[in-house]
Amino acid sequence: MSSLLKSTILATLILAILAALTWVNLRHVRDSDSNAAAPAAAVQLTVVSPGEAA
Amino acid sequence: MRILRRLLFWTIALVFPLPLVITYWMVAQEPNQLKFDISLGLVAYAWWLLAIALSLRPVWIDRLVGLPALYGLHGMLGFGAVILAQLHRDSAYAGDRLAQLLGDWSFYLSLGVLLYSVFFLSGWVVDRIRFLLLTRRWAEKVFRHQVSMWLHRLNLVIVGMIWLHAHLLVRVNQHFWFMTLFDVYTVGVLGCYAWKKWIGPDHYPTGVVTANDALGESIRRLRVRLDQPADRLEPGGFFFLRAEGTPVVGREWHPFSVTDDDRAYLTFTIRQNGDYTRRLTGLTTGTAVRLEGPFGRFDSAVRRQDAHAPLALIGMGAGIAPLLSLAAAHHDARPIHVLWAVRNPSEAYYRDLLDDCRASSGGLMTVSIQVGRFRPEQLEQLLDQPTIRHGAFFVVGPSPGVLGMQRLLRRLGVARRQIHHERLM
Repeated sequence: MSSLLKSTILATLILAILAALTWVNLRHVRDSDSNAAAPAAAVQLTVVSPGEAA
Repeated sequence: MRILRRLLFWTIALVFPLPLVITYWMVAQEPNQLKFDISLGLVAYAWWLLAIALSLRPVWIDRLVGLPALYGLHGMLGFGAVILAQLHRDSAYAGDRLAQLLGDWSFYLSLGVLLYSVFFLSGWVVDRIRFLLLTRRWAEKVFRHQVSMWLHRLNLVIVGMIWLHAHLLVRVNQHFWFMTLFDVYTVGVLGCYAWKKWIGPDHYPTGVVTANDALGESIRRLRVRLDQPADRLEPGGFFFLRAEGTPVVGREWHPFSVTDDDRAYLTFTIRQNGDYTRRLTGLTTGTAVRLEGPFGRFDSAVRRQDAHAPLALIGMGAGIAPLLSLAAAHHDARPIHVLWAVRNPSEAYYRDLLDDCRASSGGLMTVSIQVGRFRPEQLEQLLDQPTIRHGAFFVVGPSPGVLGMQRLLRRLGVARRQIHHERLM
């Protein structure tokens, strides 16, 4: 296999891996954003003032 | 100057992890204590990656500080990384079970690889303790160099485990730009590694073995005809050599010094003290070889000396090999004293070559060959005061011998900066 072909394969592989990892990282961010939003909503639902409780 | 260059080189260890750590501190919202604990792990990971990058032995680093300094930093980075990883484990908490397991096992594996490498691949401890040296020689019957190199490649598995460990931790993986940089570090170093191992050899000099003779009980002389002359080869230089298409020896790379200054036909004088070198006996003429290099800084060290500063070339056994080419290159330009210790008279196989050099040096070159090591009182007689005070010393031979000679020279009053050495494993 020629050196040029090997280099092209390796460069393509590296770019593909970096693109896949960027997609994974974006998913992590989206998941963490949605997880952060969920508990905040739950807290709002459980807040009850003393007057209302009586 | 040599110390300054080395210090500059060592700052790589400080600079390399910085972008990763700074980016993390900029994006993370955690308390500072937790950020610090995570940073310990980041620096450990960056050092592990840098150690892998250095193992690719870029020629420009060899020209800057030499391969011994490069491998010195390579080892220290591994050592430092394991210590930082332990501090990181002690202080930081991984919420994810798999991340915890990966972190723990990558630590145990890295500790194992480090201890194995210190024993089998470095001379830090073993070269200084005779019992350990004998134990290693005995153990090398099973843990051959090729096995050691494969075990050393577990470093790549460790990198993969730590990379996954970081990707599983929510408090780290939620920071997009940090994770992108983390991945660029990882893929960048592993990409360079793949390039060097897979594509790089295509550009290396090639040749064929034209002669393979026994010079003594355990010494061989290998002659290689290059397809293209090695124009960048300097006196005292060496190549990493790999034999191809032969079942006699494995395909791993081994460093060998070039004995003379012929750049079309390379001569290697090889001491057969290990599994690989013993097998070289069976290497037939016509075997194709590939060479990585040239490496070596002996000649540039000579050129840095004053024009007429004397040289003392001290070779032990096959350690004379790189010194012969240095002597050939400088014998008519400055005072040179070659001191060669051999095991028995029949192993003084380059006596004629040295005599020829001496004869054509116009009285500048002196040669002292003796059976057995040079003793302190002999060195005191053989070396004159100008050489001891201002000369450059080049010491090459088996590791314990070189370390002993360095101690001896220091006791005679030779400064550390005057001594250049190469230790044969």
